[in-house]
Amino acid sequence: MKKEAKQLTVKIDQVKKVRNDIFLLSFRSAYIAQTAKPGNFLHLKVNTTILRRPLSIHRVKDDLIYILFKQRGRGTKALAEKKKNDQLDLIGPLGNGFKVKRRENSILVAGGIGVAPLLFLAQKLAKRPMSKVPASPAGGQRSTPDNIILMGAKDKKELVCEEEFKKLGFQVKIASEDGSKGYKGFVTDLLKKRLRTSDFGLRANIYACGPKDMFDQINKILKNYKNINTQLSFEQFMGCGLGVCSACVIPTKTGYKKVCQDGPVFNLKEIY
Amino acid sequence: MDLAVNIGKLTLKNPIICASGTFGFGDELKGLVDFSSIGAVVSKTITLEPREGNIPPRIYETNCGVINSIGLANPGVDSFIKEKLPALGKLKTKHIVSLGGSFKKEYKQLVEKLDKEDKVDAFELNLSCPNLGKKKLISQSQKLSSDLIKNLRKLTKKTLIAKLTPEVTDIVKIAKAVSDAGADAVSMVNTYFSLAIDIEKKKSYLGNITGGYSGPAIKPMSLYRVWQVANSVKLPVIGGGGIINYKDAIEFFLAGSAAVSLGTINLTDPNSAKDILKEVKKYMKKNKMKNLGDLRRSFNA
Repeated sequence: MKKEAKQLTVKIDQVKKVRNDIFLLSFRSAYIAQTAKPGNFLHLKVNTTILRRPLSIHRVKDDLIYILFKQRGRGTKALAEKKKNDQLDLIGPLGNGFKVKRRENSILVAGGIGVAPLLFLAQKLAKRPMSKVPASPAGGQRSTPDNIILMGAKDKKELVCEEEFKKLGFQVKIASEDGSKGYKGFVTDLLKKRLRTSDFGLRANIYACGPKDMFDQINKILKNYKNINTQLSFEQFMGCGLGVCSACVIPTKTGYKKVCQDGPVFNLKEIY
Repeated sequence: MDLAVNIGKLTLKNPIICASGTFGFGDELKGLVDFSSIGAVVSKTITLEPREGNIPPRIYETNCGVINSIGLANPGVDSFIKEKLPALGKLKTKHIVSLGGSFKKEYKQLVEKLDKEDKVDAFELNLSCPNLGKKKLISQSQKLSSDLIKNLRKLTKKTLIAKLTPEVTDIVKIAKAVSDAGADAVSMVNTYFSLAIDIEKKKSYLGNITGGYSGPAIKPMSLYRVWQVANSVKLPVIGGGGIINYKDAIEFFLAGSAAVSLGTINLTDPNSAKDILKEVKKYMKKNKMKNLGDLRRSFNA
């Protein structure tokens, strides 16, 4: 089905507390389930705020849509307080999502709550058909490309979804800044190591979502690996979400681009 | 019930106008929005040359309003004529094109380029963008506003609407000046100068530091100014500033507006014009009002 954003009223199925301030909200929408692509977002109306809040699609299971979010301000607080059967007004699916590469290996890089859109992406990547991986160590046998996710956060409380990625066949590597789980340091250190020590990365696509500092680091690392295709999902304070108000721009090499319409996913080469 | 309203030579089928900057250049929202229930759409402000706009972040929501600092990002008039204008005639609404510039000659050239275009139903002169880093806005000066409008009046027979800033000592004086200079209507108000600071980073939330304030917070102040002007000039006043529902719209009619303008609410509900129109009609029916004049005149102060 062709993606066309619609304004819909849906009924909340559940809002579940995953960790301290991380919540998982779900609702049913056959339309979103059929049309949404990984990296797309939904613009949710929150009755306590003036503007809508853009949140990416975390996961789709049949016609259940999941949104994973961290409670940060008034908007996410109101969303966290939603109850089963509450109505939710949304516009979506919106934005340019990740381009899912059919054949190559994947390295997902998640910074904090940036893990949110990557699970939906992982669902699609895991479902890719068996194909010949061009230079696989086994020598060109038919096999599914390999997937790995590098997850980073300040501490272990912020690390969520590990099991979900494992269930999809992803290898999971974890970094925490305080060392409370996995490698002590930044998730980008894991990426650097990966690329240095294995040729897996050289045939992979990178898909990342997290803070801007993380993207800056990824860009620095990739200066030595210019051929790795890398897609980054950005966030920005947003107005309409529909491309008309020009509020949510970020600087790119070809001028300001709208996160809501040109993004939220941009190729690294468009930005740096 | 007659909801038609005349703004200069332009007749709108209903008095609900979508404000500049909240509806794109024309048809961007056609998949989501029922244009047939909108009286007119004012385009995002067009300038002579393309403008990239201000440094992001460009928008920040406060407790009761929204601060923006877009900085008139637009593709420039030539690109507007080539790429946006052709689609406009197909939508069942009127198109008011908002024009912006720093100098008289820029406005002159804009009007010259657009006057011959049939799909442009009227001009709104943005004399009040707060995000250009200039010391003075045109509509903060009676003389600058008056001179500009006198000049443009000679160039076009299309309806000329002056969009005013609320940031003046006496807005009635400015409204009188643009009226005497030949404007057909005033649209008011543009946003208020504002600032919001992130106390952790000790920096403004906006890349451009300051921005223009809109949304529910500004409604009472805007309503007051509309009431002042509507009581002192004969020109139709397009009133707005913080309207988010039909009750707000009714207040602006009662204060003397000939038409109302929806801004920030469009960002949240692109179909708000349709919803508000429906409720305004219900209100008028309940109050046995046959036209907008009945509604306007019913204010007992």
